[in-house]
Amino acid sequence: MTSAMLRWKEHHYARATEFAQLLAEALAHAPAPMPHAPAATVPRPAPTLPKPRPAAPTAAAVFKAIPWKK
Amino acid sequence: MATNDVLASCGLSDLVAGEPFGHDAEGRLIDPAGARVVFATAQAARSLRRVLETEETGAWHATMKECGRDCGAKIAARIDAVLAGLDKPVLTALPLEACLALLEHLFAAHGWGRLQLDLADAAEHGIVVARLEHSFFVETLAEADGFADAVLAGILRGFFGHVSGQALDCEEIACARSGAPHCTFVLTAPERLAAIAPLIGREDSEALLARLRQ
Repeated sequence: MTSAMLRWKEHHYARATEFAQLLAEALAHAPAPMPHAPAATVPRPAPTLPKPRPAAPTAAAVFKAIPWKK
Repeated sequence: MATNDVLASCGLSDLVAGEPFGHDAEGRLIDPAGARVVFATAQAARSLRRVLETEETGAWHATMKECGRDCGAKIAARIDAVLAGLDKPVLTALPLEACLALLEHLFAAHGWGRLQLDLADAAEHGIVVARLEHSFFVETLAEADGFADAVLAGILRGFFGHVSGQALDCEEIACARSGAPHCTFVLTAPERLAAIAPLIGREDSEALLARLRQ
């Protein structure tokens, strides 16, 4: 291993968080409108919901009611 | 109901319609903002894994999961910004089905796989289950050992953390690369996942979910 590679390796761990954030930025890149996806046109089973809902609750209301810590 | 029908019923068809990329006068691929775009290949993903694992065993999994968490939160924030720009409710104010449909669409649009979210155990047991078919990482990293989808577990964690306002964690509890019929993820409070962590990979997904239901 060259001295340059050693320096890179030592530096790599010091900046691991920045590396993950930069990679996340690249992965998250999705222009608006979001890309058309053929799979989205395929009928799929409706998400299995906790209970039938007469009036569709908001996502926030459902997630607030979930006992995450049980 | 089909994903597109769910989104259409909420007036969100425009959000997922149209072509995402075009070409500039020089023929270069660009996004709607004019930024040049290139695509990373499956080989790039394999190379990244090889480099990180050569650095330190386990580095790829840990790095990808943290990267995914950050990515999932960014994605949710960007969808909120797009929705606000269209004078639509943000993710948390959408009907639950539309919020979930957008996430499922997003997975397909990025080429990560076909995601199905299951909240059947949410109200009583406090867990959300996600099942993924045709995982990009399973197919791309077929020769590697262990579970393949750390970045997707992180993305689910980041996205659901954003829309729930809760400190949640997500673990992949079965992976098609290890012989499961599909990849399975579970979201819940971090301490509950920590309790089953030593059993992941040793017990199948149904056994692990049964433990979380106790």
